[in-house]
Amino acid sequence: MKLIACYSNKGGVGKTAASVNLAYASALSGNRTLLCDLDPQGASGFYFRVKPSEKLKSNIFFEGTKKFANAIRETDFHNLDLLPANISFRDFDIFLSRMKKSRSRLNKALKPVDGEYDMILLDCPPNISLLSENVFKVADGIVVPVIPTTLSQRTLKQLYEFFKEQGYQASKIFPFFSMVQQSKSLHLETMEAIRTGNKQVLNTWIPFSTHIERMGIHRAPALSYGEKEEAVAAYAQLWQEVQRLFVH
Amino acid sequence: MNLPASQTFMLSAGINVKKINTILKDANMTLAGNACEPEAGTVLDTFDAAVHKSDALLIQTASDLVTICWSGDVIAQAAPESEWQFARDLPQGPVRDLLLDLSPLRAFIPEAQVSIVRDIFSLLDDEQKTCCRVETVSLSRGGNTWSWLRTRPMRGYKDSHALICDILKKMEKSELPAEVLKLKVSDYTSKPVIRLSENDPARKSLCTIVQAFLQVTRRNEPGLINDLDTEFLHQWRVSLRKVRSVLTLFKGVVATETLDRLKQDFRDIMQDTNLMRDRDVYLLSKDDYFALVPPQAHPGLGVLFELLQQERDEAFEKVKTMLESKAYKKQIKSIQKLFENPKDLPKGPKADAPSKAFAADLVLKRYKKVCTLAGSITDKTPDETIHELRIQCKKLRYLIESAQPLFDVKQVKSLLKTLKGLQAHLGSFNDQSVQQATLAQCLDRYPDTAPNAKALAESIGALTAMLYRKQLEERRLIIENLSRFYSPETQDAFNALFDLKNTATKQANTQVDS
Repeated sequence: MKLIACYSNKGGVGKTAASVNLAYASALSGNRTLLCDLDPQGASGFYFRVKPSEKLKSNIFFEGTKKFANAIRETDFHNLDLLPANISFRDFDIFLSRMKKSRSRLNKALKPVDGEYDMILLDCPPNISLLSENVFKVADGIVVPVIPTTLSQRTLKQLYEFFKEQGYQASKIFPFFSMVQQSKSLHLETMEAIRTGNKQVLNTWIPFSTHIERMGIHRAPALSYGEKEEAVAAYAQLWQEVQRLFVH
Repeated sequence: MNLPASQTFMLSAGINVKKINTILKDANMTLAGNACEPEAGTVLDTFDAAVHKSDALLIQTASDLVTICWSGDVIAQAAPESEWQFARDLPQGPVRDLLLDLSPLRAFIPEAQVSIVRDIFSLLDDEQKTCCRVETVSLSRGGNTWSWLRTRPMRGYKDSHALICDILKKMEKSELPAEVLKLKVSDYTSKPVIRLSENDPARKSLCTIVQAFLQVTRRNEPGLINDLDTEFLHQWRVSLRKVRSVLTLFKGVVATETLDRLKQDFRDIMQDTNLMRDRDVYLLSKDDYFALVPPQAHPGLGVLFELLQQERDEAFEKVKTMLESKAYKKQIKSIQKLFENPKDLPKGPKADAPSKAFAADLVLKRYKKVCTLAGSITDKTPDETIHELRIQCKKLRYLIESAQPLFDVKQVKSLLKTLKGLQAHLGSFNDQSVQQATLAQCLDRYPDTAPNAKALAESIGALTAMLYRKQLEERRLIIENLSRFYSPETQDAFNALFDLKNTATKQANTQVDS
């Protein structure tokens, strides 16, 4: 089982779109895949039409790891399951901090589903919290969408600094460019600048596209309805790159 | 994983989606299909209804070959491009595997035309999220429709699954497709149920047994004449052999002259079929033979098999002519007539003996004979003795099987199992001898000057060597199995079942004791 986190310490960078499409591409290439919607503002569940059920909203939800497994929902797509977000995910951090002993609590929480999945993708909340920190520790890789702007460049730098301060492995971070507008010379220049200083940046970049934005109307991964569109196909290519890095 | 088990439902009608959706309205859900078009399909089965007996249907459409197992799953593979009759002719696929398992030797014959609709319905919630799938097959024939539905539950949607199961359960009327669609199912069996009464005179029981087997013989004739598959000849021969055996084994029941005449009749009838069956056996294991010898011997083996096929075809023509002849029809009918009324059958001295005691005595004597023979077998025993053992075992088997209705089914079955285990090895041992002899004959018959003579001789040499090696291995296995066959446990079991006098005495003693 491989655990890949999709994380950004800045919102609105196409993180959820990437998570949803990477998970879909992973399932399509034959991996039994679980997408965990850990971002309360995110909409992974929305894109799969999965409602957060009443039961999941209760606070006792994360008391036992078994309940965690019970919350999993099969999506309409083969090989692809979803752990939907719910209100108590806001308390997910608190839940983790309550489990005092082990520092790799997330690992423990994922234990009951170990073996059922080949790939677990985490759509992480856009902040640095105990949850994110746990993710940083246990994930096999962290893919970070970056809009090639000066502001994003700065946020990425902050993430690396945080990793350094905490002693986390920065080699797990794999940034990729998201919502790229080729008509903007600033985008192209920033991409150039970031790539020069960082060998871990993935080759594939995701163009800005209305086809991707339409996911909200289709309520399905863009790859499932628009794989022929260049911007959408970039996700398939991104998955190929991620797969080469983590799935052997 | 926390997933409810799939459930299967059968309806004696089409699937009324409108009605289901009316019920689903309260739950804010809908059932949606893909409006699949009906296709024309052919129902296929073997002469002995192997598919039907396994609780399934086999249907071929222009695109697919589908098996619907009504308590299990629908299994499909692409329809073969060319005509097919046997499971082995099909391209690799799950349906081929299933059919090979079900009936490796029989031809699958068209039985009826149906119209088939296959679909996968989705149970959707108000967000249009699929919460459960339902795989469906509807078959129609002559105004009647039979539907099969199987739920495919989805993780995390237990309640939705329960909901749709509830609705389908209320609609269900589980009649089998053959009933609803009025499909004609073959009632042929090579093992007819024979009813005997233990105190009936042996002559009456003998007539009942013979009649049943002769019916099997007759039912195989049309398929044999049309050469549909090799089983028709095989079962035709087995049934006649069983008749012949039971007549001989039920010693003293039929008058000697009658018995001698009948034996001659059977010899006459069966004579022409020996060669055909022998070649059939060869041709059926063609692939195994090719696997036995190295590739350089394959061209020669190809020549050999052409030769065997040619001989088989000639033999078949002879058998066909014989079966269609007036002489055969007259002969077989007169044999049948002889056993119609027990009183008309010329009787021997044991004709009026009570059936059960008579049969038990025969089995026990025969078993002891086999044991004596078996006990004498060692590594050094000549092949002839092993052949003799095979024949004795066969007789014992026929005897037990014929008399089976008079005894406890379970006990007889367990004894037969031990016997069958031994017989399997004896059978292979014999086949390998026969095949070595056939190979030698082929070599003799094929002219030395023919273009492929050398290749043929080489392949026969290679094959004979392999068969000899296999035969040695079978010998070893026979000796290994023998000890089990005349072990004290098996002997006790035989005695308990067939030694009626002693068992009765023992029971009487127990009653006195208590």
